[in-house]
Formats: sequence, C-alpha cells, structure tokens
Amino acid sequence: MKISEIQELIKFVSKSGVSEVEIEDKDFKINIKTPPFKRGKQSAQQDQQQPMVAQVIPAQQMAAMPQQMPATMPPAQAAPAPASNPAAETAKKEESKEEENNYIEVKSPMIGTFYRKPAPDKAEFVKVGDTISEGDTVCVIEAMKLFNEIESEVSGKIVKVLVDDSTPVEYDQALFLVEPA
Amino acid sequence: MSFSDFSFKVYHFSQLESTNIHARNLIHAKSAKDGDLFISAYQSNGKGQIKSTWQSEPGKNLLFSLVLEPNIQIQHQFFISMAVANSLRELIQQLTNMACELKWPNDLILNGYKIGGILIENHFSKGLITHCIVGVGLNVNQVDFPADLKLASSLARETNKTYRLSTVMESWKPVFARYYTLIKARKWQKIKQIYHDNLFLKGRLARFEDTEGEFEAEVQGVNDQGYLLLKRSSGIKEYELKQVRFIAKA
Repeated sequence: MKISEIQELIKFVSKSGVSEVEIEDKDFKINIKTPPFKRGKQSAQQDQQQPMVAQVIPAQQMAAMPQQMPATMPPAQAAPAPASNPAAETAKKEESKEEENNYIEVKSPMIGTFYRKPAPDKAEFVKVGDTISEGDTVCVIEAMKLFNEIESEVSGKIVKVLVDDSTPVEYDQALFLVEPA
Repeated sequence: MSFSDFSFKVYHFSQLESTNIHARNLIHAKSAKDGDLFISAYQSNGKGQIKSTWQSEPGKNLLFSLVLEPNIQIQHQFFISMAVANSLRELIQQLTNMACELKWPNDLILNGYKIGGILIENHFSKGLITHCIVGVGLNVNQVDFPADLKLASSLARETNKTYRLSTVMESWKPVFARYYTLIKARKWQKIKQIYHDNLFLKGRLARFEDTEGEFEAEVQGVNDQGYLLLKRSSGIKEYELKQVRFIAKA
C-alpha cells in the first residue's frame, strides 16, 4: 500500500463517521481509529487535541502481538474500539469503572504509623493539589523502627489526604485520594 | 546470591547531614547499589526515630548507612532488622568478650546500657523491598554523654579500652555478609532463632505498661512481623513498638 493510498484512506475514514477501520492483507495490516469527539460522543475525559490514529503493522511483527493490540499505541488511545476486540473490551470496562469512581486510593501496604514528612522539620511529601507521578514518595509508614517510603502507583493529583500525620494505619487502609492523570 | 557475591563499597565523608539521607537521595537518583556503604565522621542531623536525633561526638563513633537491594516481600521486613541486629551483637561480643544483648526491637545492650541503634528505611515497589537503607550508630569511643541520656554508653566506657573505628568496621563486614546470605536464602527462622537466643529478658518476667496500665508479663519473643509477644495471665498478647513500654525487670 502506498503512502498516498493510506492518506486517502485516513481522509475517507475521518469523514465517514466510522470509529475504526482495520484492513489486513498478505503483507500489511492497517488500523485507523477516530477519536470519540469526531463521532459526536464528546467526553470530558478525552483530550480534545487527540489526533486521529493510524497504525500500520508489518505482517512479520503481527505474530508477536497478542490480541492485535499495537505495542506502540499509547494506552489513552486504546479505549474506543469495536466490541469484537477483546483487549479493547477490557480497556473499555476499566474506563467505565474509572468514570464511576473517578478517584484512585493510595493504600497502606502495612500496619504502622503514618508520617507525611521525612522529618519533623521538613516539608510534607505531598499536599492536596499536588501533582504526583508514579513512583513518587507520598508518605512514610513506620513499624518497629522500620521506615517504609510509600510510593504512588498512579500519576495524578492529590485530592484528599485521608489520614492525620503521626497516626496509626491498618493494612490496606486508604491514605490518599488521587485524581488520575 | 552466594556469600562471595556480596561486596561492600565504602564511601567516606568527614561530615554529612545524615548518612541515611545521603543514601536516600542516591536511591531516588537511581545511583545507589547493593553494598554501597556511606560512612561519616560526624552527622549534623543524624536520624534516630522520627522525633529523636542521634547524639554523637565527631570522630568517636561508627555512623554509617548501608544500601541493600534485598528484593524480599514487605512482610519479611523485620528479618532485615533482626539480621542487622544479630550481626552487630556478634561484632560487639567479638570485640569486647562481653555478652551483648538485643533489646526489642533492635537496641544493642552492653552491661545494661544502650551502646547502639539501628534505623532502617525501606523503599519498595509492588510489594517487594527493592532498596533498604540500614542506618547504624554504634557508640565506640565516646565517653561523655549528655545528662539526659542516662542509659547511653559506649564500647570504650564499658571496657576501658579504645578502638580503631576502621577495625570495628572491617570486623563487622564479614559478619554482616554472613547474615545477608541468610536473608538472600530466605532462612527466616534461622535469623529469628539467633535473635531470640540473644533477646534481652527472653523467658523472663518484666514490668510493662500499655494503654490500660502497668502489668507483669513474660517475654516470649517476637513474631515474624517483629511484634513483641508477652505472656500475660490472660494469655499471649502481641505488641507493636508504640503500644507497649518496658518499665523494669520484675
């Protein structure tokens, strides 16, 4: 398939109102998706600037890709897809779950004492309104003189701190509410 | 990992705010490795427990932080604490020919005085302890202590000898390496057995205090999470460090 043909195809798909087109031939596979707002289903969670996505996958790489999920595709673009794609199905389910419960809890992995600062004279690790990345330290939990730096497993914005500084926490207790990025 | 795979890489400093903070910064910068050891003649802001700082005269004591990459599960964290405590206890006994005991959870006791402390910081990812900073403060040649530290002492004060800090450090390395091998081999009960064998007041009665008041109990040992097990008239009860206070031997 020539570049000009691909361009033609993308133009056609974008005008047609179709959400996704997948064409597979002997030596190539092309997958074109349109962002949801182009289809009139405007969603607050979707980036309005999101470009239309076209994926061309050479046939020899296809075998290595389970469930036809292009490895180079960013996760944010994985959601809108036809129901026949099982991987996208899962992504869709996760998305709707997130919509129901927009915030993610950062939980305590252990019993201990919750500290918001690395030392009494130091600043808090995080405050409400702070933007955090995955892997950032959000607090310390101490038990038996073992100090555990708790890292966030999500990126986003701290919406609420659920536990007071220097107070005991239980295993799996929610510590922070994070609005995922 | 075998015994010979582990090697220390020692970095000396004349003064640091705290060797633990230094190690933590390097871990965050992803430039600290298993076996890196930071030693400072003096710490301007040595860490004790979160509200206490470690009092130390410059150049007299052994203050260092060791970085480990144990990759063990979070529920095994107390075994690192016990292994480090065991290694230091063994070292002190070797240097002084005196019985050294461990006071729960990890104080080093010689002649009834506290001569050292351990503070451990864990960094973990998805339930595994990826990095661990073992902070050690061992009082070696300091003879004068602030009046409010009645129970603090040092090797020198208890033995009337002085020690070369480098010798103390070098003597500790192979002892700790042996315990680290036990951690890597997941020999949890062996580590706990040695800890119990040297636990202050183990099997004896003592007076304690909890939120409901004073009581007498027999020290049974610790559970795998490091909780103190006390045998009371009502049965065996588990205590976290902040839930109980030791008062005196019965």
